[in-house]
Amino acid sequence: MGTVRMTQATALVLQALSEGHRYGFDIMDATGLASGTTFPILRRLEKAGLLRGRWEEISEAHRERRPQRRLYELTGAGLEALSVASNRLADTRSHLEALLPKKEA
Amino acid sequence: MADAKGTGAPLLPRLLVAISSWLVPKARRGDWRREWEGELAGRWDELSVRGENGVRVRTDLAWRALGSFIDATQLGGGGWTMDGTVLDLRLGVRNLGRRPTFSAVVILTLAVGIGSNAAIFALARDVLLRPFPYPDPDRVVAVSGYSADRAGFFGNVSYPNTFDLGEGATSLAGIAALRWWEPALASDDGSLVLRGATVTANFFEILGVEPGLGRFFRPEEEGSGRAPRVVISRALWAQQFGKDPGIVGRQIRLNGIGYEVIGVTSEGFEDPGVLGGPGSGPLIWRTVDSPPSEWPRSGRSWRAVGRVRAGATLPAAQQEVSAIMAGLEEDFPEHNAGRRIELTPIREQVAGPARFTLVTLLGSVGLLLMVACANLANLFLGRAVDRQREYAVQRALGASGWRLARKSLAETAVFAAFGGGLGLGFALGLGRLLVGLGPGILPRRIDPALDWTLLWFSLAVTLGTGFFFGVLPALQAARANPAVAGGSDARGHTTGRRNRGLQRSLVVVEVAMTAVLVVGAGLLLRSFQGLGQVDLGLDTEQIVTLELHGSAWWDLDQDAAAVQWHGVLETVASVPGVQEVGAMDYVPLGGSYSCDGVSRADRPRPPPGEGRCAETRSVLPGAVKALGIPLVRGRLLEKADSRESPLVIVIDAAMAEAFWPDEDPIGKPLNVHTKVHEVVGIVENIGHFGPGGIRRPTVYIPTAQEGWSGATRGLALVVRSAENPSSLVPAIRAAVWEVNPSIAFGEVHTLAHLLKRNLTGPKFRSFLLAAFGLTGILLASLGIGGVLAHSVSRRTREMGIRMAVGASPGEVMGLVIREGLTLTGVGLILGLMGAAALGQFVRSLLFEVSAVDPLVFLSVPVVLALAGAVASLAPALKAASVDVGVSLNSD
Repeated sequence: MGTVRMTQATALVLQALSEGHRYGFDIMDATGLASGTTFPILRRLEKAGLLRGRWEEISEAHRERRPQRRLYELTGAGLEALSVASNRLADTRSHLEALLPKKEA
Repeated sequence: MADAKGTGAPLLPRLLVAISSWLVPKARRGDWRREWEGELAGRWDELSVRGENGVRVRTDLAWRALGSFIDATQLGGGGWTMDGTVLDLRLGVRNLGRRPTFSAVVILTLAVGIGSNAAIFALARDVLLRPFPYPDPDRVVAVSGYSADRAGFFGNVSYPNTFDLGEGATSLAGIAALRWWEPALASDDGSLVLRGATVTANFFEILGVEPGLGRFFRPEEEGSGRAPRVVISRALWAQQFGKDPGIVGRQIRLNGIGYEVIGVTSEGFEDPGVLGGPGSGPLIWRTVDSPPSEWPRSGRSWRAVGRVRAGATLPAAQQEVSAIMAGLEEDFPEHNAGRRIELTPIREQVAGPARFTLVTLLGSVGLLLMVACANLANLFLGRAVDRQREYAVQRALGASGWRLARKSLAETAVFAAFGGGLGLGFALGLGRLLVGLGPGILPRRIDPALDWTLLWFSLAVTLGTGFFFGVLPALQAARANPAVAGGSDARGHTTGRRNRGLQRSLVVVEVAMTAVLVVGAGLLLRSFQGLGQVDLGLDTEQIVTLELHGSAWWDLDQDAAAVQWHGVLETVASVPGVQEVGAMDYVPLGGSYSCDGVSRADRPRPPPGEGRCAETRSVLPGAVKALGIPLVRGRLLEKADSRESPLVIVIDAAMAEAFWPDEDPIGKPLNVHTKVHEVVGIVENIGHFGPGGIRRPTVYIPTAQEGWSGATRGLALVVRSAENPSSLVPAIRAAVWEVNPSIAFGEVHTLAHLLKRNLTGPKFRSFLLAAFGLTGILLASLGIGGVLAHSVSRRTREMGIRMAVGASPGEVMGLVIREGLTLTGVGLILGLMGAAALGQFVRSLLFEVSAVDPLVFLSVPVVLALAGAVASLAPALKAASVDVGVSLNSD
């Protein structure tokens, strides 16, 4: 278990997982991140205990006659980290909005 | 998509993942790879089912798989961050200064390897690939003539034929004819002979170029009786007229005649090079001053260039031109029998002959670069072994193998960058040198300047080189064993042994590649030497030839022309120092030729096109003697062989052998053109086209009997002198002008010069390859020496023990030298086998030398073995001077 630096990309990956995207390429498509970014984040999040990986059911892979995929899902700690991250994002946004000049109606 | 289903993703992404997986720690590798393969296969199947399996999907998968590399490096523990890389690079730079000799050797080796490759690449690209600077350059074609049997394919055409082809072919926008013209420009410091061309007025229009200043020729400015006008090149404008903007409209004097300058070519103008010959083409152009009808149809001293009309294709144009030529053959069988015309895109025409030479050179520098790489890999490998303990400590302190490998790679990258940068400079220097040395073989204008392609090429070579010599040491670093950190070093350890094996293999490969290079160089040098020893059957040393333009004599009738010419010969003969003088149309080694159909007159005349072709030389008395061609039997041509006397001819031995193998040719009749000449003499054969050129039967006809139209082709004086023939030229000119002050001089050359020019190409090739071979030997010696020195330093204790138990220093030296010679020997065997295989490939560049020439194949091993022995000497001496006490106590 360790801590993870909550970058925007990391938050995006957490968000995608919470929306039910479960494996690497699927998460890439949901977040628009490159594979060289997505997979290292998945590794770090798993190492930090924010998500849990498991192999998909062998029967499912067999039915489609292809190798098994690795599936990821958020742990409790992961959900919590996501909510912290989204709160922080909301804060940042309200700060920004306060700073930006109001548009004339 | 049953076939796609279950078969897994395309090969490339899977391969990328497989390669990246090596970077993942062993314990996790299996699962890691399974995950990536699962992802790729899953995505591929999903899309295949929907029928999406095109290039876009494949590219996307490959792109995704590329990310596995970053994933793997991060799992490998090192991580790939910009900061880390910068740090590694900085360390690499710092290390440069720490071992200056090592660094200098590495960087210089790289610079030579990369630089020579970039220089030859730039040359090859400029000659072979760069399009000509004309609109639609691929439509510009060389219009080349040849005989059906293709004997001596020179591409020359006659002006009347060219004119008829240009008029008749609708698929061509036109054909321009051109021939060399070498006028003397009157200037303040005497006169200067210029390289120029006589062209038809449409020449520049066919190319589609615009003038830089003024204008080009107009159609009505062609033909006789027009005011003389010239277009000059940008180079001439700059050199002779100081870029005078008022040059257009000015009169300049050429061969004593005033010409109006009407235009200057533009900055980027490039001559199409159809005139053949080396260098940058003509500096000055004038229009042809008489109509095609006044030129002999068999006088093939012209070249031609045409443009395929927009909308027409080259094959269609070729077909049309061939059909017209067939008609011309029917109409003029005595001149055109067996003549064919070929259209070749201009780039092909010009670059074609140089292609093989350049490809061979590229192959050779590539080999040299590989020798350099093997050498460097060896140096770095040796260093990695020395650093085994340093790496082990770092591993023990927690650095991952990947981290150490990266550091090692960064270090080589720094070397590669410095070497590449220096190499680029070297390439520019070498490029200038080659362009300066090689005007005899480079068929196009070359600017040895830096540009993006050259930069990219050098960068790619540098990266490739860095990777090549960096990977082995990096792997070495990655494999460093933390266990040796505290204890003894890697000596005797399997890693050490494996390394020594690797280093030895590299040296063997290096020697083998060098042997291939040196054999190649040896074969070319032998060819060149062979060319130099060919007996041309001529005296080349004391002969000068001066081309005279006979246009001044056009108005003279046959008899008056004969009187004038004999007058010229007599006055020149009286010039002090002149031993013999004569004149002929095409001088030996001059490159021009005239192959006409001849046949025995005592047998039925063969049908047109099937007669044999003989080199026909129109000569005035004295020419054969002046050239030093020995008389075999009969007599030479004399002044008495005039228009009124019986028609005679002198033939060479090859002609006698070909036409009268079992008879005496003297007194036999021979058909030449439309007349029958009696053979009165046989002379020895000469090599008209130079040492490596073809040889054909030759006949010598008295110009007076052939008709003085020969004079319009411009006869050349052939003068043999007792002293340096060049020094006589002014006196000879004066003597000629005494007879007729309006005679203009064309090319003036000594035969020695023409011979030298003839050998420029082979000389360039063989010396360049010899330089590469020498560099290879130097590098290979460095490699052998380096490996042995390294091996000796690691075996100090072994040497000590040997000496302690009674081995003499001589025996220890022998041990080391034997090791060096063994490596050289194994490399040599492999290299000579490779060279024997590759030799067949360069056969066409060889002259009377077998591709497995025994002298070369015996002397190369001797030279390389010697180099190997010399390289082993220093390490051997070091081994023999090992202090027994010190070495036994050393760690």
